[in-house]
Amino acid sequence: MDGSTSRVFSQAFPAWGHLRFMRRRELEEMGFVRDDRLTIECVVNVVLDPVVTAGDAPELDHPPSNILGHLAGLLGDKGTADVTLVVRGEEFAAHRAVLAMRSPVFKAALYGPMKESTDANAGRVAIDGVEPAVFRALLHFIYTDTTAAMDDLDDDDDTAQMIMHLLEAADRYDVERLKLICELMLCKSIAVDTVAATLAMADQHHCQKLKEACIEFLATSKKMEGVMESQGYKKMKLSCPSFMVDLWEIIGRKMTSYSVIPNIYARDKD
Amino acid sequence: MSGGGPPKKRNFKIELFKHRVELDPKYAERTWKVLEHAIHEIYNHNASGLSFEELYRSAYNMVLHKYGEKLYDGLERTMTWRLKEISKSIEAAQGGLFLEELNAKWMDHNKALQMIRDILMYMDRTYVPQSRRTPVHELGLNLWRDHIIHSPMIHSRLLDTLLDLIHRERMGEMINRGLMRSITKMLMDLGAAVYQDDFEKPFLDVTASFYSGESQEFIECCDCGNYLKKSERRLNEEMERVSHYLDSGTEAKITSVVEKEMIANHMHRLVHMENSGLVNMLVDDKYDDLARMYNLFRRVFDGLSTIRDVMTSYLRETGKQLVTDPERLKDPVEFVQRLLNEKDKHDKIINVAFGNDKTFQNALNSSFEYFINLNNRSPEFISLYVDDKLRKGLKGATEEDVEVILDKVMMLFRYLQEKDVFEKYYKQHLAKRLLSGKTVSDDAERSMIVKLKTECGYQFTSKLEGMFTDMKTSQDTMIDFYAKKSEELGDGPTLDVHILTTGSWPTQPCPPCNLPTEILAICDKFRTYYLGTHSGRRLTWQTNMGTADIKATFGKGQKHELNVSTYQMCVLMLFNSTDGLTYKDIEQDTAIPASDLKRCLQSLACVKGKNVLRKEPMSKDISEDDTFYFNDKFTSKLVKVKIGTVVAQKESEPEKQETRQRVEEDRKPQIEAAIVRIMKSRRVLDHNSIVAEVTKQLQARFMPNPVVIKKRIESLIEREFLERDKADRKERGMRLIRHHICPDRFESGNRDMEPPTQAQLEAEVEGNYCRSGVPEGRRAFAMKRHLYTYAHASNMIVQNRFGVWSHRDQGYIRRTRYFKFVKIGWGLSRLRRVCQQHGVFAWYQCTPRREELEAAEAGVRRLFSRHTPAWMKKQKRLQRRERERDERRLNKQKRPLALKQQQLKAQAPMTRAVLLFAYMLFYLDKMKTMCVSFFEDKMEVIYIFVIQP
Repeated sequence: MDGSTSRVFSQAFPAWGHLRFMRRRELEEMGFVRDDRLTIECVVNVVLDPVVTAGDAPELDHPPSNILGHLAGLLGDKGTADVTLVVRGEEFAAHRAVLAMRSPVFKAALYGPMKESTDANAGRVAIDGVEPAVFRALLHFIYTDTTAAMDDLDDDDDTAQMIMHLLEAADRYDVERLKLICELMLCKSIAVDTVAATLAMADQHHCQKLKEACIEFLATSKKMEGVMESQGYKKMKLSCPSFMVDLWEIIGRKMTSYSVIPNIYARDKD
Repeated sequence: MSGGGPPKKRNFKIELFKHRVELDPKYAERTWKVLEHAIHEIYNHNASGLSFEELYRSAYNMVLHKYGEKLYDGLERTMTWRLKEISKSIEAAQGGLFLEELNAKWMDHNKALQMIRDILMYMDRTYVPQSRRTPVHELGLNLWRDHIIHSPMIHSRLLDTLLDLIHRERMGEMINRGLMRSITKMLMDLGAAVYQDDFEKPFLDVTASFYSGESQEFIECCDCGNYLKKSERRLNEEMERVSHYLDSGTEAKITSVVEKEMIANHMHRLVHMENSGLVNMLVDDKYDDLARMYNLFRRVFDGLSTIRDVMTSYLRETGKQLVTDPERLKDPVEFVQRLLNEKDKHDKIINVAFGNDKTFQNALNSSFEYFINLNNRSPEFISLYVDDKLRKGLKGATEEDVEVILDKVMMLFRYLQEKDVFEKYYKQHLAKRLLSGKTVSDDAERSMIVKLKTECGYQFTSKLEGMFTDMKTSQDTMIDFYAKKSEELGDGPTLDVHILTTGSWPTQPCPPCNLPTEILAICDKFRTYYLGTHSGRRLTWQTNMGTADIKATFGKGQKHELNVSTYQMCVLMLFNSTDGLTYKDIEQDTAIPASDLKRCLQSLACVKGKNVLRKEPMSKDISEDDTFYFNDKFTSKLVKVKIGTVVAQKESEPEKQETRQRVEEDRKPQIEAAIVRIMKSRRVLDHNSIVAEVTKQLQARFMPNPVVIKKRIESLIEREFLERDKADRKERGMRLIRHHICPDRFESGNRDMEPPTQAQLEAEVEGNYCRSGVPEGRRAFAMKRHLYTYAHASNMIVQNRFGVWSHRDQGYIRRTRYFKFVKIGWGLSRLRRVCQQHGVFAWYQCTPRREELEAAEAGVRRLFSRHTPAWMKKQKRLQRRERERDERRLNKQKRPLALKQQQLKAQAPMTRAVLLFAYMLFYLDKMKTMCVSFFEDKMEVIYIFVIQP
């Protein structure tokens, strides 16, 4: 009755109303009824969807992110570096903060209470058990999040070796992403003569996916003889016979469950 | 990078990747020795000399070469040994240093643990999850728990020390809170279970016994207010303690312990405490204490209801004394003022001390309602109070003050059960005010009427408003009368007539008295004027309500103007011709009713200073043998003398009886109207339900007596408005239990509170309003009508978005969730009856097992879909899609969809029950045909299916 109520009608609510009604006599009493008629005035506003043309709004794009570029710029920047890593005599300048950010192991080493974080060695940290080239690739990844450094290598064989080393280093320093990338690359390049070595490494460094891929390869390929003749296999046989026994058991189980399935990993390598 | 090679291509050969195999059998032992040494060094605070890189590489290599287990076991062994050493040094700590030593060692252990975890990170990451062992950090905590906290020498000593410190703090000493905080945090770090078992539980036990002792001590020596103050302080202290050095989870537990010991255990004793309990606080308006009591009692179970019960019984007791005290009943204004004061006082208490708690307000209201209605004169007194205020009490008061007073009165009015009695008195008092022109402010009068109207509705006040209209029209009529007839009237007396509409005013028919001839002449002139302008009306003089101003000249020539009532005027005019008259003469000449005559003679002859007549013999009371003389010696300082009639302000006992009887008479038609209204909607109803419904409908005005209702029902049966249900008489003997409304009667829905007169009832029987098939009360729903025929009977269905009204079934079918509207061909009332035969009396009583319900629903749905034509299925699909789109859009607009879903949820059980019954009946072979109506989204179509099983 207050003349000013406004309602919104939509397809879902096509009607509005009151549950309570006025008594007829009260209505008549109010004097709105003339000649047995009641006039109700409604104002209906029809709202159409607003139309915005492309020309109206200027295109405002955020400038692209460039932090990656800046981070990559730090790689090898001796001016700002605050730690020197010595790998078999070769020196690498690096930043504690960046290393700690990317690897929890570096974080514990460089910010912990032990020798590495104190100034006694003038910021020099000796690293053992890694080849300089591999360490360079690791650093490259740490700063740039890419593995481009490997393009330098000569042939596929070298690349494969490099990836294995890199995977080992990534596992040691807990650079999870790099480890997964390496795993993926190795998965793609499984071949008859390398599969044994790859498998052994995958087992040692807990690369579940790679391991499965290798076993899949062995179980489904028809080239068992080739595998057995490969260098890696012979070395394995010598170095860790116990692992070989485990391996054969797994493969044996796999073989029975697979019947004849097209070998997707077979490559024209040999 | 220390770049070595040329820029284009580095020409180095990478070392071939080798599987790492250790050939040296002593390798593991050697490496472990290095690590073990490092762990000892870490505990000895010599970590800065160690090389992290080297240690990490050693641990890494050990794991790589499958020596993880050796490494882990070694670590556990070494750490255990170190902790045993530490435990010895803690045990050795003396007295107060114990906690500090423990804390210091804990800090050391934490630091060492951090470093060890870093060194062994590779093992933690690979070996530990693989072989499902405890991670290093957790292992460290567990070992600390087992070898330090649970060591027999430390365990009980730690607990005793902590509890002792807390006790000392409770007794007012200062303790090292920082240290306490560290220790409790250590317990929490070791796991919530350690904290709870080793500290919290004993702590709570000790607290309980401490406070049970203290509260006993307090309650013996303190009064209620002081006790509450102390409890409040203790409670705050405990909460503060938790915030300072205990885990926040303890707060709820400790407060509940304190509440139980300090409040819950002594609740009743506190409330009823002699001289300082709740009642005394209420009497003395101790807001602070009351607020404290409210806040403390609110924390415990039943606390507030205890306060509320005591307050209610106190209010009822005092109120009862107030309204039944015969001393107080003498002055109605005082009586009501006291009630108002009482209400104000307790309103303020609830507002200030009880935080405006709704339950307390309700308790207050119910108490007032209880005792105000104990005295059946309350309605009269409240009306008298308003009368008093509107006559004189409001002089000089501002508009706001008036509003406040009237609002308060309305509050009391709300408590009245017999509102119609109040109406009756209010009408009488208003009439007197209006006719004697005594009302102070027209605005105040109107405001009171508006308030009554909002409270009780239009019907309640329409007559009161009619009285105001009459006053206005009378004024206009008199102006017109004198304008037209002034030349005819000459110098005769001036007449001022109020024309009162019969029915609006509380007039009683009274025989007109003999007016003096001068007056009679002008009265006749007015009569001819009035009947000339308004044809078809009848004028009756109400001489008992008028007043007159007459000029009188007394013995020494002094002149006075006397303001008297009409009756008194008639009496005085007789003395123009004679000096002395007997009572009998006066009665004969004036024909005034005896009681009124006595009263007016009393006021003329017996009131000192106003005795214009002299009576012989001189006495207070008028007897029939008295003789009256004109009093020559009358003197007065005033020129104008007002001679009031001796009117009892309060009603006398017989008058009261009379009013009550009139009220009872008025109630009869109202009850009848209510019965008829109810029977029209229900058709058949048993006696008790009628009584209950009538009481429910009328309790806004008064509490009808069941006996009276029964009599009214019998009277209606006699007059053939109702009839007894024949079927039922057979079943239950001769008892009157059901009534049928004859189907063709009472089709109009007169829902007003106006009691219908006999004529109106007759008119309803004639069926004057029975034009459409839809009862008027529901005509608002009649938006769209459809006439359909099914099962060889015509059925008019009226529908709108709320539901469907089916004429044939005389039932209203609500919108349901599944198919918008689902109607069982029987009509819901019939369905309900069948359900009752199956032992289910209402929809909500149906609580079948979920599987049953789902099975039934699935059955009904299958039934529906089997009989749904393909084109309709397609349409439904389209509509569903559209609806989903709408809903998505709604979601985007963030409309309150949740509310809608809630409504649907609330509706669902009933719908399910309907579906279940439909299914049940269908398979019970009770139904020969089933008709299902679908009402689609936009209301255009109704689909009806006839299903022959």
